[in-house]
Amino acid sequence: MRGREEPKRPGRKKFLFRRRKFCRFCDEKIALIDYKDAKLLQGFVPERGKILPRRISGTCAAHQRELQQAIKRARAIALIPFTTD
Amino acid sequence: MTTRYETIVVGVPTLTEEEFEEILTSLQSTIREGKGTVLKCEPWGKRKLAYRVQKFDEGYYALLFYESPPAVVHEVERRIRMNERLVKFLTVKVDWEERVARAAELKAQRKPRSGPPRPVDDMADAFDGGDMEGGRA
Repeated sequence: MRGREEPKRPGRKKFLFRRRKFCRFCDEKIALIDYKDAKLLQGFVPERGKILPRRISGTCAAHQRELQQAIKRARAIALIPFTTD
Repeated sequence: MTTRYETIVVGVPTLTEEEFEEILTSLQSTIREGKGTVLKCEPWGKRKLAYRVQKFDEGYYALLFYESPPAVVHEVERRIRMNERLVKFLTVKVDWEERVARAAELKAQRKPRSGPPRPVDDMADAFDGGDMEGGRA
């Protein structure tokens, strides 16, 4: 589910071309975001250990919810950190 | 009524591989005593912990995948809690199998239409309950 067109914003000048964001999980047809897959989850928790917001990663709402659940589970068993100092 | 569960346990790093196996065996027998079936017992070996737990930086991970009445989960978790050599655990109800199977099916159907199959992703195998890289240390 990936829209093709960037919404036109007439009042704003576009000086930088920004790549269109899309949901990685929809694109790759990932059936399940597994909490055991630390490698995958790691990509969504930057240095500080916080969950990467949707507005940055472009993940769709449904997948972000699933991802959030997976990250929280993975934290609980020390696969990925809660925070880093 | 049985349900499928997945329990991950983390043992202290001071154990030997054999001692950890022993603990796993005893947990499995607990499951069987409660009329459950162990579908998979998968040790991941020693892994680094993402944060310090009881002053340990590493731990032995293992995944137990089983089908049992809900009461068994309580008993298993009670035993894990009592065992000082296990520092962490997490039990999750496995409710995604159907979803994963359906997705794999869809994928299989779709493939012949869209020309030569791409070799990259193979989700059907990747989620047979949770294989991870890493394995035994």
